[in-house]
Amino acid sequence: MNPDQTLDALLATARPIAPGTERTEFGFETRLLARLREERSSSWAWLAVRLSPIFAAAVLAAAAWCHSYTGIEADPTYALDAVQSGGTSALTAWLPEADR
Amino acid sequence: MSDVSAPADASLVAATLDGDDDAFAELVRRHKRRVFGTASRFARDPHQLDDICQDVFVRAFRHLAKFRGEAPFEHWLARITVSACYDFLRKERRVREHVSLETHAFDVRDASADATLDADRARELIEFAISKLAPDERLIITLAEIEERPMREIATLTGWSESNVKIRAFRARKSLKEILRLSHES
Repeated sequence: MNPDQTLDALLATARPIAPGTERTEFGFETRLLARLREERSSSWAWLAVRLSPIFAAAVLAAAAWCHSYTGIEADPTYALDAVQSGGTSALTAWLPEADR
Repeated sequence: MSDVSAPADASLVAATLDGDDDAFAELVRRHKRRVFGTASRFARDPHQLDDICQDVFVRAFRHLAKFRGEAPFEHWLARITVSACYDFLRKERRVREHVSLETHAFDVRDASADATLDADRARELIEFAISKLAPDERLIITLAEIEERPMREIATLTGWSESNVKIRAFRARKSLKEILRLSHES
């Protein structure tokens, strides 16, 4: 018998043997869904970690902006200095034409 | 007799995409037997088999939005299964390379003459020979010779052209014969 026939004979003998998978199939859906849920939650955690520097930068920028804005508004000497240094003309120069 | 009240696969896919995990579990229950059947041709170890099948359904879950329903869900899943099996074979190849021919020397002289050749022995012999093949050859031999799938179907499953599948199948048979010859000589 030539090698082709030998090979065909071997393949034909092995062909109908279907491996039993029942034991591995048992509880498969449960394991799979648990894995999917775990991956889903870990992907959210991963995203949160990746985005945390952006959030931190945004918070710092907002804090700095608030600090500088309230700094100008809360300084009571600002107007006084302007009057004392430049007189009322300095202030009226800031006013719109109609309010003078 | 099929259960007429059971939702179609397309409905279960839509429900899964809406966040219904139970719908996906039902899809898995329906199709796992075929996935296990194909994967078990490549992995005998229960842990490896479980890993491959989980990989198949995880891929399916992640890419479910790409399923358009033009072909049956099982055909779409079969392509994912073959792709996952091929990836498994490529990974496993590195691990198996250290196994020498001498440790698995079989006597193939009487394989044809001995009509009473034990089926388990034949399977053991052919599994050994197939395990020595390159991943693409192993995939082709399993699909074409063991599962006896038509070339056109294999082309669809693998994404290779039909002529490419035929060439690979021819080369795989040649390699298989050479492995059996070397095993016999050793």
